[in-house]
Amino acid sequence: MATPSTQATVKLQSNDNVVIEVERAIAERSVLIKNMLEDCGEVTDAIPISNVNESILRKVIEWCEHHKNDPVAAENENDDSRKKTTDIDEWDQKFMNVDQEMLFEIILAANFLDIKPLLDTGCKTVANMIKGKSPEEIRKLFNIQNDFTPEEEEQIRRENEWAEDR
Amino acid sequence: MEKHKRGQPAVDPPSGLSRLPAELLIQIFELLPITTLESLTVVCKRTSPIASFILHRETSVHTFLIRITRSKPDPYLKMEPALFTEFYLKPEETEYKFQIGRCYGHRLEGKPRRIIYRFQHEDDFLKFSLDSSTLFSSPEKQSDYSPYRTAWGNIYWRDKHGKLRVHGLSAEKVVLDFSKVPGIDWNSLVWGAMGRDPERSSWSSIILLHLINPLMAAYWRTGSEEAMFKIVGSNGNYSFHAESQLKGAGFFGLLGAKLVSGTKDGKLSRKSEIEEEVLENDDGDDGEHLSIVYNADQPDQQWGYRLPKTIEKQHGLRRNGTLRERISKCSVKDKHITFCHVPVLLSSCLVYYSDPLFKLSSLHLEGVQILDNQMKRRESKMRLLLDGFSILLIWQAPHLQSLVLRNVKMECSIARKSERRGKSVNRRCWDGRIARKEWVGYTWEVFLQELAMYNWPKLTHIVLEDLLDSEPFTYIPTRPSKEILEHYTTKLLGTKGVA
Repeated sequence: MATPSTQATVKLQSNDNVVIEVERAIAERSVLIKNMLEDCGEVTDAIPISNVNESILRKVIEWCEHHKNDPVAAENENDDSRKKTTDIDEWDQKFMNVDQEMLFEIILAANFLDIKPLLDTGCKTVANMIKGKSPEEIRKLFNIQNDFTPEEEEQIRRENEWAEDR
Repeated sequence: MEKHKRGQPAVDPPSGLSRLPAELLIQIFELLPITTLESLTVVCKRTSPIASFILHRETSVHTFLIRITRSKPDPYLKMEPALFTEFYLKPEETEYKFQIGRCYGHRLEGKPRRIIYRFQHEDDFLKFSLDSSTLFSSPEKQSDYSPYRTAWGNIYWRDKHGKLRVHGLSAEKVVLDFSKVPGIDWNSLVWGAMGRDPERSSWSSIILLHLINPLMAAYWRTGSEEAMFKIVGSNGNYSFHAESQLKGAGFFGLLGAKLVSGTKDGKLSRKSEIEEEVLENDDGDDGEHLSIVYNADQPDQQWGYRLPKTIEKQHGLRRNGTLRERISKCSVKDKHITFCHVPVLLSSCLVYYSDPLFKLSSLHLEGVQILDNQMKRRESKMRLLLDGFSILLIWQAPHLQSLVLRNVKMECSIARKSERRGKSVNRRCWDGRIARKEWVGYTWEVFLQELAMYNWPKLTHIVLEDLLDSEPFTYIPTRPSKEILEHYTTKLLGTKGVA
């Protein structure tokens, strides 16, 4: 294993080849980057973040900067997140107040970079958008095509009719 | 762009939600309430299996066999959980309650969010005679209780023996499926419970009072006060659910059933919880939402039912021996009426409606028949115990934001003209002709007139459709005209912001 680095900043390279320099502590909110730095020691080259473009990477860094002092959640923390669906920090709510495309990109980036609190916040945001909506409203909200044939849809409804309310 | 055809793969690039990998969709869907998950099962082929997977994981199913055992000296209703020991229920004994917190044990390691009770029957059930009021006697010896101690694990308990163990269950939806039990339908459940006389006791009322009611009470008391209950009747065509933050209280009221003994305290403590909730949200617009939607798959199919005696009482139609007989001939007792609306007592649903801390922001009634539109108050000579529907709403005038009344029937309600004038009439002079002369009906138009006298500062959404009046004494439904409904819709919305 490499010796711990005293490096103050790291460079991150988005998939559109933009290099962004950030404080190491901020970058280490990402478990992926943290592990990489721990494994490789001193890294002078930019770390390629191949799945994330510049705008999303900047957005993720913005989130990490704001949350850089947050305690790191325990690995097996048993949180009953279902009950906290609407429980999103006010700053995070504003942060997630973006168009759907960016919201899903942030979620995918958080998943790729392994930033669990950001991923949770993104998932809660999407869950809050869906919550309480009918099938048609959900389709409309996310521009989803109904790819069931009428027969398939009828069959699903029939199978679950006795238990479900839509 | 080529138009997408149903059943074909989407030609457009997948939407943002569909682009997420399955593990992220699972993570998102796990945060959703059960009803939304049910919606997601029919949205598209991408969401359907994931939502179904989570639903399946969060659902616990219990199957029971119901049959009558004609043992001596006490025949009793016998229920057998499919996989466990027999479950006995003697309907006259009200101390038995389910211990809900343990009923997930056989299926799930965690706590299910959707719990389904499926009831089946044996043929013997159908042969049961409803006429005998001596069929159910309370156990007299302690040993008579013994089956309850071992049955179905620890699924029920008796609190007087200190057996209650409270589990925070957090069930979101409880389905009681009686579709395989002939004779248990909404008609009999609702009316059976209201007609409490022994001769009218039916299996439906027994099931309601001694199974459904304690079941709900148990859920309510074990951390699932937000649970939605759905009861599927035996004909499979009718389903019903009530939704509100006061679901527990609402359901007891809707079904005309009293809380089982020992739950009065629970009711009171529920009230204090409401106060806390309201106080916490005092600066916001959030209030209680009540939605009662009665869905009939066959709306044309009307079911007839004989009004039970208690309903006559509620209508003030039974006053004394002489009058009782005369009224019964000309009004309801021996008449079949037809309706396709589930009867509802709103004052029971909204038990806190006159409490200044209780805020109703949304009311949606559909396919229901309002029984408690009486114009008399408690202090009236006729001792009618229910406030009018309009009064119930007027209390909430400062808070109500949305009012949807669709396919709602106003049950015939009458007020005596003479009493309004402060006079009395000879009650013995009763027949249909005099009745029409002396009594006035209460109609939707009167109701709307009363509402229009008040300001509705927050009301932004109002739907009045297919409202039905019930003509006094004849029970022939009439309808207020569209013009009247439109007029009052405009008028009520127009009061917004009026000082």
